[in-house]
Amino acid sequence: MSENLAKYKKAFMESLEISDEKALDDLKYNDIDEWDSIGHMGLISAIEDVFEISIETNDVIDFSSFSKGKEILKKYKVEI
Amino acid sequence: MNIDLKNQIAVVTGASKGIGLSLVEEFSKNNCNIWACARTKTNEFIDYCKKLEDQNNIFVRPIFFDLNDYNEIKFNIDHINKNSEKIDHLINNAGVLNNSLFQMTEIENFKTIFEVNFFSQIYLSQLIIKKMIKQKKGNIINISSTSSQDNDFGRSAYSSSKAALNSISKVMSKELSRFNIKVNVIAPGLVDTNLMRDNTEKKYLDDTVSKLNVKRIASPEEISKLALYLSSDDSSYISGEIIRIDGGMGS
Repeated sequence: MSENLAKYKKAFMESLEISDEKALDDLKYNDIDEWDSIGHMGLISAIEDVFEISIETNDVIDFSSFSKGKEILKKYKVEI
Repeated sequence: MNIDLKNQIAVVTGASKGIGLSLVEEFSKNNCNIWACARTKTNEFIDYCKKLEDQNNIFVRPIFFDLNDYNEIKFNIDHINKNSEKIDHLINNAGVLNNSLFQMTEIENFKTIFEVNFFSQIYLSQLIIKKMIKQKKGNIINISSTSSQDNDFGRSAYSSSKAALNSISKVMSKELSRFNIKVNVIAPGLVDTNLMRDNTEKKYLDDTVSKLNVKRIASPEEISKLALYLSSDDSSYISGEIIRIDGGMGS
């Protein structure tokens, strides 16, 4: 696992209180109670923090799943 | 009032004049570090910030940008975020005022007033709040006006822009409380600033003052001391409030 993938997964697991790493790959916004709109703000903050980036509001809105987030982060030169 | 904000950091907009300048003074006297945001760069303001730094052994950094320009807001707030370990307080104080009857106000004037008094402030807040969410702590004070509730004659654009600010502040308080961020509004009445004096006819001013319980206008310090209290731990249970400070206007 790349270093960035490990950081990305850790941000999800800590922000959304997920214990099973296997659940991440197919995870989508609102799939679990913890990933509601408020949880989303915390998740975005954690990802910004770990990769030292500032995600634009339109990308915050588009960040709809674990896999979509990987695509979006490419715009910020974060390859996962 | 003695409130120790040592090692804390505040961002204040509209910091070079009126209530904003008083906020910078009061917060610095109470040991708070400050990013003092203003539109117009002047040596006088830069020197004054330096004087406050020396007097209080804190940093008071003047930073200049135009709230009508979103790129400038982004650039400068990113600079603040990158150069601050944390942001404890955000005080959105910048504002513009115009007087004209509703039917005499061009739509562009409405947009200009809303741009500074509402849209730019929420954009700036969004950028700062990202840092507060990471900290899981923060304090936001939006400076509104009694006009937002009293809907003063001839102030349709100003009053409605401040009413919008009141409303969004209450929503922000609800949404951000989970991150231990509190949001309040201070709604001053007549305050002795150039902005007020330049936009209030003397006859109206005298008439209004005569109807106030306290029979005088407020000093900017009286407003900034309320902001100071709302930034202290003593006010930790106050959030989502619109607090009028108006000398008993209409009571």
